[in-house]
Amino acid sequence: MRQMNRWSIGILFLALSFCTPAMCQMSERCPWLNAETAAGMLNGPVTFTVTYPGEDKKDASCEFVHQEGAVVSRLRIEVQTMKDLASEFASYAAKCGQDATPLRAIGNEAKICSLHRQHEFSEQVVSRVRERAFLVSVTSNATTPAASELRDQLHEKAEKIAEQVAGFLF
Amino acid sequence: MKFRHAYKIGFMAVLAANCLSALPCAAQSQAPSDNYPANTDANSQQSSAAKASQGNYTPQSRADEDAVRKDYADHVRETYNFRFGQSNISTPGNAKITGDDFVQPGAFPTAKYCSKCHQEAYTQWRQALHSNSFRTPFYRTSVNILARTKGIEFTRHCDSCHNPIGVLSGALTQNSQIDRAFDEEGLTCTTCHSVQQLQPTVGNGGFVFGIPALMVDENGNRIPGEVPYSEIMKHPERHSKAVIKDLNRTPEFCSACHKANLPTTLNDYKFIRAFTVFDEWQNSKFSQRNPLTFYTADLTTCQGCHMKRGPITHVEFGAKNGQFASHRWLAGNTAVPYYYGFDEQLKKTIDFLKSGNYLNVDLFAIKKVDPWTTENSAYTDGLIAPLGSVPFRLKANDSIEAMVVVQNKNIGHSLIPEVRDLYEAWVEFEVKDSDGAEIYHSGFLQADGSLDPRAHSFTNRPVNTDGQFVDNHKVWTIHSVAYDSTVPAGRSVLVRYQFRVPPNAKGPLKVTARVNYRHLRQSYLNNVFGKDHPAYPIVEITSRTRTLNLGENPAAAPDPQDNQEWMRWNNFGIACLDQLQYADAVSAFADVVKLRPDYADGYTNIALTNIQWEKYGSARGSLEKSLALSPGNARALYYMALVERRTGNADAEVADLEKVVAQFPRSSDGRRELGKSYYRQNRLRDAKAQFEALQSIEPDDVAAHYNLSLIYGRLGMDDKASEQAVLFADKKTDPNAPTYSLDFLRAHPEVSTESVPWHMHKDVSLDLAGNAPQPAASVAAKP
Repeated sequence: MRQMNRWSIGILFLALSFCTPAMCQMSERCPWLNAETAAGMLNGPVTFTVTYPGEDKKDASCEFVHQEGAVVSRLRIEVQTMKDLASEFASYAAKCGQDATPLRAIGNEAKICSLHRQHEFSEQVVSRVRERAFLVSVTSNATTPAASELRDQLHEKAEKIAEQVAGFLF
Repeated sequence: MKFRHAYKIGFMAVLAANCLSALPCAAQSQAPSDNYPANTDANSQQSSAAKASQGNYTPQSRADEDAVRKDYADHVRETYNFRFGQSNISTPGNAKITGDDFVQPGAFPTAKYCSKCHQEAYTQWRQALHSNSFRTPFYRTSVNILARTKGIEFTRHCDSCHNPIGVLSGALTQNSQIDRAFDEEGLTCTTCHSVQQLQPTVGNGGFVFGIPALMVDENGNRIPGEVPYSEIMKHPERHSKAVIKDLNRTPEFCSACHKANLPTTLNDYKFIRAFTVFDEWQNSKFSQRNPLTFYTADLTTCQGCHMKRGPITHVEFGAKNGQFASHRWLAGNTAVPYYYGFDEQLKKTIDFLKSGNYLNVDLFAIKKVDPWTTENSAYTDGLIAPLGSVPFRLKANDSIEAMVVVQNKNIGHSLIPEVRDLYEAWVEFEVKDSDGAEIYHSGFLQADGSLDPRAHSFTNRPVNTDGQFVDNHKVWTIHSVAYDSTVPAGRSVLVRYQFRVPPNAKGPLKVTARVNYRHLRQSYLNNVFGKDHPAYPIVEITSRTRTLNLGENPAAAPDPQDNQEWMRWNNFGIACLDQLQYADAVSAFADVVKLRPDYADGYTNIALTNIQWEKYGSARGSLEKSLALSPGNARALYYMALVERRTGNADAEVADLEKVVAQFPRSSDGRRELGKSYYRQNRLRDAKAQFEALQSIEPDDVAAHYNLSLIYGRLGMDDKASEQAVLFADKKTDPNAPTYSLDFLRAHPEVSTESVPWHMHKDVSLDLAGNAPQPAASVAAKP
């Protein structure tokens, strides 16, 4: 009898051990893009985190990271619902600064900009679908290819991801 | 001992789990190549799978390809939502692929790969609807609602055509972990060019893909996956054999997706026909399959209009003599090129819509009407028609009924085809005086960009069980169609307008009728973008203006764009027939044969009107004249058979229909009626053959299902009888459905009036109490 109980406890632990991480993963999927699509864009396996600013989980931020040695590539997606489109989107779009270039055919409207820090290149799209604003940022600290080529690659990736996110939000 | 071991493992696992859950919920995802294959025995397979996921799929052998696919499919199957059973992975759609199993997206070489040698095709395709079939906001807005409200698995219905790689790769399931990079290519080169056979023409993705192959070997066997360009250049004929099949040039090929229904698996209700542009083509003069068309034409397939050959401007190894079949598939969609900024595609689309002599607008006639009554007898003059050919007088204060005939002259399908709940074509009718002051205007745009609700539009109003218009293309909620206005291929509609010449009007008056087209209607654009979107293009497909003098209007020379006079009468007659105005139709067709006594179809037109009017004796006389002019004329024989049936001459009826079917073996009407005739004669096997032939032409024909259920039963083929009975029950119209339409029409009188075949658009109320006419902007229907 005692042995039976121990068996039961063991099985319970086992069951829990399998269920818990799975449930965690289930709740952690990025609503706007699956990890495989992100991995395809970042050219390799990714880890990711998802954070929800609100209780209703309507909006979320996702960050995918691919690391290969010292080279780190990041893809960040933020989605935010605006209460007052007219006033809020202008300030949201300011995340791209004044040098942003308008992008056609991403959401209702979109802009893309380059944000470079030391040893790190980043291309960022700010856009909206109806009242939902979103930001896509693709960043890399790769030293090859050359900066201009890397920038072009990131630019293309940012656009493609932004299109995927907009497609989901429509 | 065993227990201790289990306990330890369990404890460690829980610890690990707790550790993971204590972290900020980071999860590790690996590229799909590392997730499968499940069988890791063969490193080479793993390598191929990895390549496949990236789109660089170059298997070394058929066995290798099969193994990679099997591993992939096994992996997808573990988590795939088989809500509709395991037999068809694409249900509620119909897309199929060899082996009836999942295939890795990378098995489809990308358009970029093809573009190396087919830059012209690539450039055109990139701007065309097919390449944007999935990603556009106009599509996503609707399909996202389906995914969110019913579940992503239901979107396999739409995506069997809009994103077949998504369907067949198993990506359309909850929490799919498949790289969706293929979304941006929609219908890519290697979808259409991998179709190996067609299913019966039921649509919803009625094709069967092979595993994409760009070469065949020396024995004609397909070599799946990408191959080096050098190999293709060495054996271009093997490349052609792999990617081009005769079926690519057939209208049935297009029918795989340009025909759609809403199956029970989608709507939990019953089969509902969605659209059937392929069958519209089959019934048009361009198919040469239907003997009953009003006019005749050379055989023209879908590709004949939508893939016309043109000169190339880019490298294109598929071109012949510098000409290449258009991969723009020009049609009516201006919204997609406008949204994406594809200016060339937009311009060519607009040119296409305007260039084809597709429609004819005829300001055909006027009547002067006594404004104090709406009765027919109140017309102060008879019909003044055709305008331009007969003199008449007009003066201030006259109340005028203007008759506009819109002829679908050269479209191989209806105006407008497919989803009339989203597309918007309408007649704009305008009367102005010599100062440009507007006297009457119907079909204008309102301040919010929406169409005048009383305009004569070629749109529809599907409704749900609440009697509400099914907005946002939520087709799975459709239970009935309250209103559906179109101009079928080759037919004409008559649009009537009534206006009054103001007492102070300065002549001459200018009367203009236009057919406008907008892709998409304003309220749908608002649903997609919110209300703050730019105005989408409106294309005037065709128009006609006439000048009406206040005073004498002498006869004038016809305008080059006008139809010949006999055809003007003929179209007017066709339009009256479709409005159930039989006397007017017979009268119009009588004018046709007066002008063209040698025109057999003129007599047939009189006859078919009389048949609908149930005047069979008169019909017989006209048909005899028609057959005397054109012995063996299938159209006349068909209608004569109906007359013979009514008068009990069964043998003559069968003989006539047999002649029709001999001349037009793909005539669905001929097959259907001959089947009925045989059945009445108890010739069950002959009847069975006709209805089976009918099903090969139109698999959804309810008469075929019904009659075959009876015939099979009487022939002792019980299983087939039951099968047909079930199909009949599913496909026949739900007799309760019209009640939903009535709820809608009661709430929308402007649409209710439009739904009546004969109706009048007018801007003044005709006050029977003798008061001055008041603006009412109303329309009235003739009982």
